[in-house]
Amino acid sequence: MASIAAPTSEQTIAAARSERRPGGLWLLLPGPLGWMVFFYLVPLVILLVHAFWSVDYLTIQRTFTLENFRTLLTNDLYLRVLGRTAAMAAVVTLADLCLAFPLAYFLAKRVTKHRELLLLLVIFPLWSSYLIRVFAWKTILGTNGILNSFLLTVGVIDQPATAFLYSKTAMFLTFSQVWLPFMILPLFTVLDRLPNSFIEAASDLGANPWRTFRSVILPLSLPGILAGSLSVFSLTLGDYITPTLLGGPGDQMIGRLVADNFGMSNNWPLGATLVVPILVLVSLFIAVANRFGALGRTAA
Amino acid sequence: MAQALMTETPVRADAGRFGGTPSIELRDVSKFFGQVPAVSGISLEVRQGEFLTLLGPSGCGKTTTLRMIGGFELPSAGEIVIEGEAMGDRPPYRRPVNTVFQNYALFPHMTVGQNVSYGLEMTGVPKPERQRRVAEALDMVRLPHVENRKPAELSGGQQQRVALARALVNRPAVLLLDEPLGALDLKLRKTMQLELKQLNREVGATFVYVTHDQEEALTMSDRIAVMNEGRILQLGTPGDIYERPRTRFVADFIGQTNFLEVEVIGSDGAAVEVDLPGSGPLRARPPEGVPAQGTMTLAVRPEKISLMADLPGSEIPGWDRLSGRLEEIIYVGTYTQYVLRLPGGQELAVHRQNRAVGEGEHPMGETLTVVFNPQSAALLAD
Amino acid sequence: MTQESDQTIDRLMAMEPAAVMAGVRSGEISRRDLGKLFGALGMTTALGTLLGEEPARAQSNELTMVIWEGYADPSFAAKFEEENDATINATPMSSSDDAFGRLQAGGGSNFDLVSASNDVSQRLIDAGLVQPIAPSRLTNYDDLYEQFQMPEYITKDGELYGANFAWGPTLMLYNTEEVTEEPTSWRALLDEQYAGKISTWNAPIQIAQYALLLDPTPEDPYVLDEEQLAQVRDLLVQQRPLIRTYWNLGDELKQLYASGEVIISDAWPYVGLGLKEQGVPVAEVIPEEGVTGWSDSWMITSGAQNVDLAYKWMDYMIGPDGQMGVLNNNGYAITNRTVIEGLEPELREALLMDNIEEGYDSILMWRNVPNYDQWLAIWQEVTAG
Repeated sequence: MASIAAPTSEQTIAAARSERRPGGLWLLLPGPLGWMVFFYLVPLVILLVHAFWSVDYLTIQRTFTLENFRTLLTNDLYLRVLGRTAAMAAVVTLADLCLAFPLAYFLAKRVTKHRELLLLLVIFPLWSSYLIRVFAWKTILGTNGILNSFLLTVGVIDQPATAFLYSKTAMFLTFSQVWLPFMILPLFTVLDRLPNSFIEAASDLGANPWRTFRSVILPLSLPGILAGSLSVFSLTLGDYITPTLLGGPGDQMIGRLVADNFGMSNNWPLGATLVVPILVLVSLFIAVANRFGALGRTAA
Repeated sequence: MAQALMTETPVRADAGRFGGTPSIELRDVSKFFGQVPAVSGISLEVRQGEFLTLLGPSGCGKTTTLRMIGGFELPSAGEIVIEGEAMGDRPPYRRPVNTVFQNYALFPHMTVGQNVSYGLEMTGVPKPERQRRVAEALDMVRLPHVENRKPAELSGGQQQRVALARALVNRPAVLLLDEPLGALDLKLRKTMQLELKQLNREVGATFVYVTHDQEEALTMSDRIAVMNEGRILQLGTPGDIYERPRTRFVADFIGQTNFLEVEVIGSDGAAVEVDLPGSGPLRARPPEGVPAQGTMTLAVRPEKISLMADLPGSEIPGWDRLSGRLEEIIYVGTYTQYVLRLPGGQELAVHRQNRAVGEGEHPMGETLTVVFNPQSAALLAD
Repeated sequence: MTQESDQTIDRLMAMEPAAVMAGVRSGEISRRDLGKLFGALGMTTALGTLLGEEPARAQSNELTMVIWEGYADPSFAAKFEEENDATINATPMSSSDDAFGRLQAGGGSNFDLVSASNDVSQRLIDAGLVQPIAPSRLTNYDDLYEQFQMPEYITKDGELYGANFAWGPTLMLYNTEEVTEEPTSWRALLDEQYAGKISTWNAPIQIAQYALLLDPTPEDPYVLDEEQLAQVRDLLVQQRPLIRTYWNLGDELKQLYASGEVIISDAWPYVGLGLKEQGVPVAEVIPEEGVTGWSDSWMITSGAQNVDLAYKWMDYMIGPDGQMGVLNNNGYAITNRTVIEGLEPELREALLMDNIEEGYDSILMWRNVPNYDQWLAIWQEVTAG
């Protein structure tokens, strides 16, 4: 029985609900947004501004200059180190992709019992400090380390091999192992969501496992591949702990050069400049990943 | 369109249509998942070009059986032979079988055209022929000119047709359909049922269909295999299954049936005389495969029972007669269901076709007399 | 005094922890003694938390410092902490530039003290990161040898900025079992026969050490022209494939020797001393070309929170306890005349202190290099590859 003058309780509730809803949500935003701006965007901008300044003995000259960029592009030390860093990041990403895919596929498609437990085991290493894991690799790869002891005992070599530690190999092994969970998880997510019927349908229509993989599984798991690759690539690109602790002389990566410039060399502007190519590379990668749905918006 | 297709496949005359070597043979096939038997020793012959339905409740093993034919599961025991060749452990891509999946499984990253031509690509059919056959297949499922759309842009019914086209374009000897109409609304479902039936005849391939909907099975199938708990309970034409169910489960699963416990009194070859406690002697059809003795179940379908008052004349000689009090009246549209309480305490459901509005309505509590032909009443052992 | 402390510590260490705590609560064991115990166990900061207090923040009792390894070792620092009811919070530096960078980043207020070497002290003063000190506040000041009282590297415009407390050479260290013939020249660090087992300190100032190998030898290894720098650079590039890894911290180098990764390198006496204590067979040698070296001074930062306590520390470190502590723990030469004159002659000779002036002059001391940014660039280029 609706009276004409006053709105019914139902109408009031409905109106209030629709008015309240957007309001409530907006209230939640300032917190995280403010945090992001103050602790992420502002420092980043300040850093990038430094790239256009220069340093004179002990003080930073705050006048606009492109000298740093010229140095970056003409001095082959920086180009070489950047190239080496990008190459290492690419190789590690590829290796992790090859290692993670079968594991993620197995977990997603073949494991029925104890799935959560196995997933936990995948994440488990992340609970320990990154530094500790790097040191663990040192213990394994050292001249008198576990690997050499094993090979000596088994008789494969008769003198400890020094090629394992303080080399690109050491860095590669460490990076690949340490970042692996970041590749496994997104792949697992995307493969888990892939309906088994798709794979069966492909097989039903005459595709052998390889062709099924290439034409159905791979394209449909692209978002996961890109997300995982983005993580591993950027993590490797900016890292300087592993090359410092495990890299050989002359294996230095760009992260260390940046750190040196902010520490030892006390040349913040140059350090900031060296960060720019890293940011550009990662941004490009993000753009590509987003385009292919890795960041969750567009469906493949 | 369909005509062109027909000339390319062996023409099957309707009469003697199901002759020759069986299209599919299941020889004592079992499937265990761990300790659980999903399918227990099934043997079945599916004839060339026939439309066979596996019908049963969920968990009866019908889908597992279908998947074993398709190669998605391998039997734990027994053999599967398709078109005369033992399949052994052959994977799906090496069987002359194509499947229409329950959720269609259309590849979302490909266009409709690419989806439909997928099977042809896998077998190396050259592009111009592929395009032609794809167009043909889409025509056949009455969905022309959608090659460039993505599956997500189509409605459920349209997607279903694409799934069909994708399977049929490869001209498989056998087409497996796993409850493909489940997601469609009633009207569309009924339309598709007829279309599928038609396709089966046009294309000539053997269709093996899985469903739990008995009406669907009755409409489309040449034969039905009723399954429960991993076994085939009865295999026969829709008419067979419906009119002459051999077990209580089959009688109960398909349509509606009245079950009355009776004592066998005697037999005279054409019919068996039984006693229904509280109502007196009745006659029924002799049971198949088992002797008529002791306590048995008399099964008679509600639509086979008529109100005596509705029949012209007073009595039909030889027909069974029962009386009871009208306890429930349920209006179902095309018919009204009357539930009578018999003197012995049993319930009897009667379906009365609503021929004319308000024709001879009976009030609740009235005692009605009903009659039915003894040949409509089956005797079951369980 | 040291004997008494040792006895106390021994007694406490022999007791059950629960008994120790009971003793503290009842007043039998003084907090000082407990501090000594913890100091001996190297847990000075745990003292505060165990007694149920919040570790006193910066206010009156915490001293933060950035130091070369070994300069706040509990073996001598614990006594200071206990006597002054203080906590020392020390961060090691991997090089002078590292320390400079840290102080620069904090604007001179993230640390109270820095043990600055003579290559970076002037830069610190020029950058305004350290404050002038009043020698009158240091009771041990007059005991220092004259040359260490107002050395030019910690003096500017007549004002003194630090307390010079230790000095020493960067020697050549080698594993006596693996390196059978005693090396006599810095050339050994470029010797193919030790390929893959050589290490050198990762600091640009090392260019001076390698400059000693140039022919003709530069007059001043810290003043090198373009061509000389280029030659040193070539030497370093030549050396690189033979290097196992560049070492940053003394403790790291000790690890490398102990695990057999490295058999020959440059090193400070601190490293050799530590390895010998561990039982690793090493020996040190002063190569024929001479050695570079350093002289360290305590300097108070311009933004120090705890100036009074900082002065006390400086005084302590140029006093007998601190001086002996540094000598024993690191094997470095010291600056307090009274202490030195009380040492055994062999010890004095071993540490170049039998004639301070001569000993000191025999080392090619670090200093503020005029074209340091070029040194930085070269070093970075070589080590980064």
